[in-house]
Amino acid sequence: MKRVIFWVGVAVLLFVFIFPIAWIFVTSFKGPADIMVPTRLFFKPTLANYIYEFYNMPILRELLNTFIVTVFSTFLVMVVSLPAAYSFARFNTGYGHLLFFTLTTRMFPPAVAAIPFFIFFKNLGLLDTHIGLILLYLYFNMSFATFLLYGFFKEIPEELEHAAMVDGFGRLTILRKIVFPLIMPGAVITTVFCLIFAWNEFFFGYMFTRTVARTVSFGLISHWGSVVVQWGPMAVGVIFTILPTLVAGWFMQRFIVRGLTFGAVKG
Amino acid sequence: MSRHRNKARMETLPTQFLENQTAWEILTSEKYFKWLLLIPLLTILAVFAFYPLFYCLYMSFNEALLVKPPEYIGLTNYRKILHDPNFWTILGRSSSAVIVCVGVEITLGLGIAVFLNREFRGQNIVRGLCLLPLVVSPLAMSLMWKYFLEPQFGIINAMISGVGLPQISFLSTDGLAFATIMSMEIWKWLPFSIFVFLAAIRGMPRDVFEAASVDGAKSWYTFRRLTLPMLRPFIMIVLLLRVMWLIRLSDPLFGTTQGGAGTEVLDWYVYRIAFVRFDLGEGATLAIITLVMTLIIGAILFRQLIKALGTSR
Amino acid sequence: MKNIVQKTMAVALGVFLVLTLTSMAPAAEKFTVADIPEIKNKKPITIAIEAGGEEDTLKPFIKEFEKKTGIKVNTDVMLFAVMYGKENIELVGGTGAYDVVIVEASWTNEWAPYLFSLEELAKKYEPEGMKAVQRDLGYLDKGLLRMASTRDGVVYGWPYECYTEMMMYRADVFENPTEKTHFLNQYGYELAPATAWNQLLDQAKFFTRKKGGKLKGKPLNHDLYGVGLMAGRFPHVQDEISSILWGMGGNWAKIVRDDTGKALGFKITERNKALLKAAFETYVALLKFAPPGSLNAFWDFVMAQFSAGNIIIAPALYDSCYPWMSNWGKDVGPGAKIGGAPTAGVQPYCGNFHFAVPKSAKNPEGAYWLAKLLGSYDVHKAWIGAGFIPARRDVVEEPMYKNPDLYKKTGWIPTMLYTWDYQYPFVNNYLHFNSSAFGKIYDFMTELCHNVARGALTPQQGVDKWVKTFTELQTKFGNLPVLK
Repeated sequence: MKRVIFWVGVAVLLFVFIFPIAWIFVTSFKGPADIMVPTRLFFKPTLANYIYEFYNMPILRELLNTFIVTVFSTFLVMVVSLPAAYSFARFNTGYGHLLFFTLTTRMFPPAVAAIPFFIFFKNLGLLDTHIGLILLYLYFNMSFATFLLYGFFKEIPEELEHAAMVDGFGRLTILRKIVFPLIMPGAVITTVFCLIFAWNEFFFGYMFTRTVARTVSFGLISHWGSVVVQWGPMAVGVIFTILPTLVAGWFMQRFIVRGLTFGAVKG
Repeated sequence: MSRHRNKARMETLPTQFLENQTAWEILTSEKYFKWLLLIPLLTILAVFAFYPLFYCLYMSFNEALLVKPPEYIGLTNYRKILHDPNFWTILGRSSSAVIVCVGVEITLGLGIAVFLNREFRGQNIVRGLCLLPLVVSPLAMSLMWKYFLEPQFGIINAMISGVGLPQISFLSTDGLAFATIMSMEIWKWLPFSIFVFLAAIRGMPRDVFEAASVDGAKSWYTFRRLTLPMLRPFIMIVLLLRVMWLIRLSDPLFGTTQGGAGTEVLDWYVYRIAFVRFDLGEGATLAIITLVMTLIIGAILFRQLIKALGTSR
Repeated sequence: MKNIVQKTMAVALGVFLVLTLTSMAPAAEKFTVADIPEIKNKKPITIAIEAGGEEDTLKPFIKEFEKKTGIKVNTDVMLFAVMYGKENIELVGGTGAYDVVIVEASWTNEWAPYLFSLEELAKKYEPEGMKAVQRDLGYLDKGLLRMASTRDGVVYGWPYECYTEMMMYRADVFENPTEKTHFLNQYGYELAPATAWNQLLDQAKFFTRKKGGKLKGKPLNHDLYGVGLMAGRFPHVQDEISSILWGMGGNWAKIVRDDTGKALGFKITERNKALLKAAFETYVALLKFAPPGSLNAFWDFVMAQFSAGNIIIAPALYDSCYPWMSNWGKDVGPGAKIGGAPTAGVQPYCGNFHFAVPKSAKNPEGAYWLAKLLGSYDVHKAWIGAGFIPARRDVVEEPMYKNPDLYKKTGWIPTMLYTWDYQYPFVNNYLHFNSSAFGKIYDFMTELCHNVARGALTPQQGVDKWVKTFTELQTKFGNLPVLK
């Protein structure tokens, strides 16, 4: 009996979390005649939306742009955040104030921050370039990544490093031999989170790009016209926006159970 | 707490580093090394955090309309916003969203994490699937929610009337519309707290729980006396991050109500002032006001978090 | 049966003849892609286009333009809801991001300083100068040209698409004898498409029926509502209330002019206030007879409700929505028939778009010719074929569009033409096309109308709020003063 209740619980949980996403998938196969009518469970599936999306919309280009920007910005985030988080966690640099300040950069409304950035980027010629967007996503993800990594570094026992230092190892050797292997799971999780957040970011992508560096989130809303909403092609777009993050998410969950313990308790 | 721990470590540092230093040794000595590590971060912060901050601070004392040069008007912008009843309504709405969403996410997240904390067939698949809402683009999802919640051709209402209940127009009634928006946000972020808590519970020492169950402790008692205190830092982390993100709530509005039916929240309002009206002065003032409030709440939570991290060690 | 076949064949033949005739005739004098001269500036052009079917229709012409001129054209497709913010910052910032921009009629005032006028461009690039431009502008509807792109007598762009609000109703229900008799008995006048908003209120009330009630003498298996409204927090709620207000003879604000017709300022008179209040009241009253969910609705919702047979009248829906309701009739009920009529008061909101060239354009020469091409006969002909409504009279006045069989593809063109002609004397005085702060006012109006609709403000409070905030916004962002 208890088992039955458990599985019913799991089923409800999965239904709530998965159904809306699954239904997007179903919608993407609906022809225009089936989209705007009271929902029918059975309908004639069509690939028309997929064909439309790939022939008429620059979705492949947008996916490529988003990919470039996401990967490079995440790489830079890690380059910036890993040493910083290590410094905060190990040496308590700035006594927490600096870490808190880093955290607050995300408290600023993006709509307001966007305007000075826009003027700044215009003068530097960075509008509608991949580099510009990479820099913005670096700003966007940096605080979160630093904070998360701070937690992971805290988890690594300081005693290990002290012992190594007493044995005469240099800083870099300690980092390479001791710290780096231990931070790996945490760094992977942070990376995946940054990838997902950058991939899904909309506002900066819309503000700072036009045709060259346009990202996929921006492309998605292009289906919402003033007279027609193209639900079908939009569903296709959504599917292709989600797929990469699904893969990333799947990859992450293997690490997340192992790694996300923030150093507070050690099992 | 960490301050005196640092001091203790200073004493254990090998002293031979202090004499006959090469440039490399100076750089890698703790005094310089810790700042060396921070150079990239501080550079980025200087450009991306200070620049918009000072820009906004400056603009908030000006009438700045983008089309003409800014003109100094003192505290007029602040006075105007703080006297605007609309601002307080919106602020109240945003605050209630923060409280409700964080409350539900943490309670439900804890419950589900405890619920899923057992060995069962297909456990990795189930947990992996539960993560899905988190990875979906919030913008895409808000567009699709509108489609699903549509009274006439949406799937949700089709299911509701399938069971014989009357149709519900989720997004057009005051109150219900905002509850729906909050539900969307909770749907998306609940996996985040589930996973933080689940990971934390699974990382807890087994022996303590085994001892408790040998003593015949009830599961509720174990949860309250053992699990919950050990989860404290994680609850604080989720609380801090989610509070900060929820103040910035606006994504679910984009595809659904666009601020209608009593769902306008702070960030949507700021967006309209700054980006539809292009009133930089008022927009910047709003940004500064919300920033100050967020800082106060954030600082309190941050202090609690540091305390929680310290005590559980 | 034979009769029908004959009739269809006759119609088909007629359509065919008209099609061939019209496609042959204009080639001689009307501007086409072949008339574009050699362009020296070969820099690539970027054009902002609205998302949706629009891009699909324009693409072939852009390709032709590229082939003819050797200039590469990049298209930046975006959502209408974000277009204003995006284009505004690029224009005001002078980034040169766009060579051709889409301008909605209510933004023209604001952007006039950042746009080339057609005269400036024609002087530089057109061999015949302004004469050639005048000739092509002559084909456009005068009212639309004034609303879309004329400010203080200066023309800034080529109108290409418009949407005119129109009343769509269930003709089968309006013609049903049972319904007609009942209505006559209850209200004392004949049931017909409403010509005044209080009539519409009667009809909305009359047709709102519970499940199990009767329509056309047959029992209903769902709730029925009199009207479908777009009361969500989208610009459309403002369009509807404007249609009511103008249809009642009101105006959002009075434009004070001197003897030469030059605008001196705005004034909200007592008459303006009284009629605005009445318009708000009418709208709130109508909402009682609209289906649940209307408070988050735009055209999309009304189309769905209408297609499902849940409403009898869509009092102010964009004319191009009929072609877009591709499957209308299937789920409505037996014998369902759709009818189109002018909105009550015949002064509906007409949305207008035009293509203009910003002063920051990197290749104004190429942009000028592209914009002109997109305003040409061929493109407008393609628009109407794709279910959009063009702004050129030479296209919409073609006899083929009088054929009721084509309404399904084009909307009720004769009704629309009637509306255009009727409203022409009034459009010069609509606030929307005179205030340089209107982009900002428009967003506020949307919020205001929605708040009145959902009851957060009473009609009186709505009027007070309008007076106060309009004065504030116009003073802060506009060029003309608000007079006491």
